[in-house]
Amino acid sequence: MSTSFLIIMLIGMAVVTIVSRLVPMLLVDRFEPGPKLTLWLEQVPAAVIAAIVVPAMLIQHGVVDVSLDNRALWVGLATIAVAVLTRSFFLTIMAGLGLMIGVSLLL
Amino acid sequence: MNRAPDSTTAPQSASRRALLGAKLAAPIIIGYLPVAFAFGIVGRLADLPDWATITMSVIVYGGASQFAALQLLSTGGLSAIISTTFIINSRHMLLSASLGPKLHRMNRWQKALFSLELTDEAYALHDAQYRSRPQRSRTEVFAANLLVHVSWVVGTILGVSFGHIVPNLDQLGLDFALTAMFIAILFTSVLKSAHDWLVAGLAGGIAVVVTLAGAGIWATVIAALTAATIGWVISMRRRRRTIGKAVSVSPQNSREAGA
Repeated sequence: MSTSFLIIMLIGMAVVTIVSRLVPMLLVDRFEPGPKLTLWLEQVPAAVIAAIVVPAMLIQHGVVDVSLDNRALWVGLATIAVAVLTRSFFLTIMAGLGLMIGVSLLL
Repeated sequence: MNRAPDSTTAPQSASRRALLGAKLAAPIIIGYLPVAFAFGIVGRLADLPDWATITMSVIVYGGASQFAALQLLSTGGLSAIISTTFIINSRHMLLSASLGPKLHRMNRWQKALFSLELTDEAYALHDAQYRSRPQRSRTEVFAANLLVHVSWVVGTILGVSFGHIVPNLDQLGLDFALTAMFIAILFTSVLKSAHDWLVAGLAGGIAVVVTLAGAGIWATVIAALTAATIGWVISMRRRRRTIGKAVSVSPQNSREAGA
């Protein structure tokens, strides 16, 4: 890893990330989305976040793992219960992290 | 701008608005610190120089893509790392386009600056806040973004500096902080209606299936696009049916409804 390799890597990573975040923002600023596109965009948050969370909980090492060994699944379900019961972003994160650290230290 | 009737929700002074931003940022900061700390440690393990690890947290600022880059350092070349970053972070296109129209109090430059801070968590925070308070102050919004970004960088610096002190990092499951945060986002603010649950269930199911089928880093984008589009088709049909009913009640509207 030469310094020039790292600099190009960092700039390249930053550019593609900034483009992903910036270009759509400027496009919807310039061309106000119509009702159809707006309706599509309203589907986005639930779709994106669930597409990240569900595999993170269910899949370990390339397979669906519902055994007791899969801590992400069971601690995740407990975290979901806290989220639904408390409706608090803060408590949910504290509970999730605390449970995971606790379980990891105990087992 | 007319005097908006939101004096109860918008604190008066700039410092109080900034303080509100800090309060909103706090839960994200609590989630970011351990994950960024872990990133700093993994950077050390991947033999990335500390300056590069920290710079990545400053200018890339995208958790999943940063971890993926470290994994690819030993095997992948420049193009693999950069294209992987793009694919992983391309979901931000969706988030950026969906939040943009809510930032109507910002000018173009402010929107551009805002978009650079658009991580999943920052998105979820602002999406939820704009739903309940469309006239939020910009001071509050930028204060929250700045603090969250700083916490990501500070966590990284702590990780490269003190990571060796923490034994068995892997077993502590610090990376679960990200999952916990996404759970918090999903179940405390995003899922409001039965339709949202349907879209989320579809996205999660598709993501699992395509991951098992070997979609790799594409899984999130494929699942999100597919589920959002199915959800959109369902919403369109429902909307059309509602309009159809309205037309049968008042036939004079039929020309508009047909458009």
